[in-house]
Amino acid sequence: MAISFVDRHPEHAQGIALVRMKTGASGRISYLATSDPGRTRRLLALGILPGVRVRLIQRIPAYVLEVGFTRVALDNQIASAIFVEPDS
Amino acid sequence: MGTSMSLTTYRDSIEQAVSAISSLLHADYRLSRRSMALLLLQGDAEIEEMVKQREGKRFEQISELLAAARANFDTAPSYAISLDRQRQAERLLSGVMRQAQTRSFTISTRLDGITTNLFTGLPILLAVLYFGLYKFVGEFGAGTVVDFLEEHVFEAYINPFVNAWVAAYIPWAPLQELLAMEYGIVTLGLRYAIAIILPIVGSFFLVFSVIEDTGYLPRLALLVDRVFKAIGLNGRAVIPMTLGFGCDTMATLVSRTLETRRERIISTFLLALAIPCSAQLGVILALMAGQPRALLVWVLFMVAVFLFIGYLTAKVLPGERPSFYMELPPLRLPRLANVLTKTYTRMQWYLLEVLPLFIFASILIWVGRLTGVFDAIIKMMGPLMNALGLPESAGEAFLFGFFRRDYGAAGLYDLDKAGLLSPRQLVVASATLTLFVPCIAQFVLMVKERGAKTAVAIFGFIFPFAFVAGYVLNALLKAFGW
Repeated sequence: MAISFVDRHPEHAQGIALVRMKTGASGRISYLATSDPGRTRRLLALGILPGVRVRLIQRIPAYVLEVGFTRVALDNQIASAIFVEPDS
Repeated sequence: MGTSMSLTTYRDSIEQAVSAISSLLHADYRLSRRSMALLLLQGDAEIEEMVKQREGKRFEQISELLAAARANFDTAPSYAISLDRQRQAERLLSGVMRQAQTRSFTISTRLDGITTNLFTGLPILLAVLYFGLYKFVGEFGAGTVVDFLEEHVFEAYINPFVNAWVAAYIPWAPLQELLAMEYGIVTLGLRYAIAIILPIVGSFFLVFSVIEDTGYLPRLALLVDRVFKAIGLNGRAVIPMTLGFGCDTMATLVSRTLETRRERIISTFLLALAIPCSAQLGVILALMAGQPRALLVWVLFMVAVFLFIGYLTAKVLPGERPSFYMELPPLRLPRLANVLTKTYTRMQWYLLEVLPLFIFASILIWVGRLTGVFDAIIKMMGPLMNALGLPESAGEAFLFGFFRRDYGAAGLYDLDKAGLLSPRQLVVASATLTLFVPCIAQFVLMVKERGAKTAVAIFGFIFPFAFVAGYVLNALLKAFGW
């Protein structure tokens, strides 16, 4: 039996890197860079997914985000996988 | 069974793969075939192994399907599955949950900012260390409580009673010494465990439980993450490391919560090398009570060794780079009942796991003294002690430190009281002894958790390193005119 389907990402032109956002800015996660499976798994475990609201609280010494109703701390390497459509 | 009654439906691509895979699953798994197929698609290694064993030849077909499915996704099936779940959860919630729009600026959120900010967080950390560790554990636990138990319980009642009883009923002197007298199981082993170690460890566990329940530890992890990255760890490792100041044995056990094998090995190693446990810390703090300069040198030296050796280990050990991600729970006022339960559970573990090993150590010391092996070893260590600029009798402290970290430190205490140590010797001896091998209990756990090979390798490094480091420190201090 063969499976014939393809599931591709929608073109994600919109969205900026979370690590480039201003502290205090908020938005909605537009996509995750998933080149590194380990990193993706960790983000998913924290409930960091496209569509979720996010606010950047601080960046030094580590990134702190408000994701939905929780706060998470991330290092630069993990945080740089997150892309956000910022609130205007 | 199990394929039809599902709350969640996924996008067609996933559903197709799930039904194709689950039609090939024939063994009994307790979970529904649909769940098994979903877990396989998400790349669960444990489940894959289980299926491989139970499905036999069919597994080949299954893994072909899995590979095909994975190739068809831009990202990973697990990503698509999480997204679909998230969407359905939102759809469910939107019907039943309303979100209050007003978000008050509470004390908790303000404190949150202060504890995670680099400039305000470090002073807070120092305050926590000073009041929690130095004042409460050091002065109250290791001072007041220990003095009371030692002087007013053991030395006033128990020891004289045991000594008299043994002298009256046991005619054979070596057996008398096993149970009582200077190094007996009751008069030394039990007295140490109950009158000295238990109050120190107990007060540490109490402070640690309070700190743990406030939610402060994840904030501390965040603060130190960058420093810890330099030594091959991530901020999360601050939890076993901090616990090590209470009991390195328990901390070695807790280090299994770290993500990668590399991080577990590095933290086990650093715990064994450079983190003094509360029993040792208590005696060393008492030893240096009147000499802040000596204490400062000791602290700086230990921090330097911790960072330098950690850095080198991270360079040498291959493996995945550590990554830091952690949920920050809200800061809360700890509840007394929870704190007491946790403290009690930890103290119970300590008594059950560590006390028998303490008694075992007492017996070994008894054998060593009885056979004259100890005297011979102490004599052999004489030149080594001299090389460190220490009196030959310090060898006894090191030998006993081999059995129990704090025995060694307590041995120094006796030397110091007798006026045999200068401030330089005090620092060198304390530093060397802190670095020196882990106690028996910790070593046993290292073997259990990390395997005999790793444990022996760590031991084999620490043994000579402690003396070389002590030698260098002595030379440095001399050069600075101490």
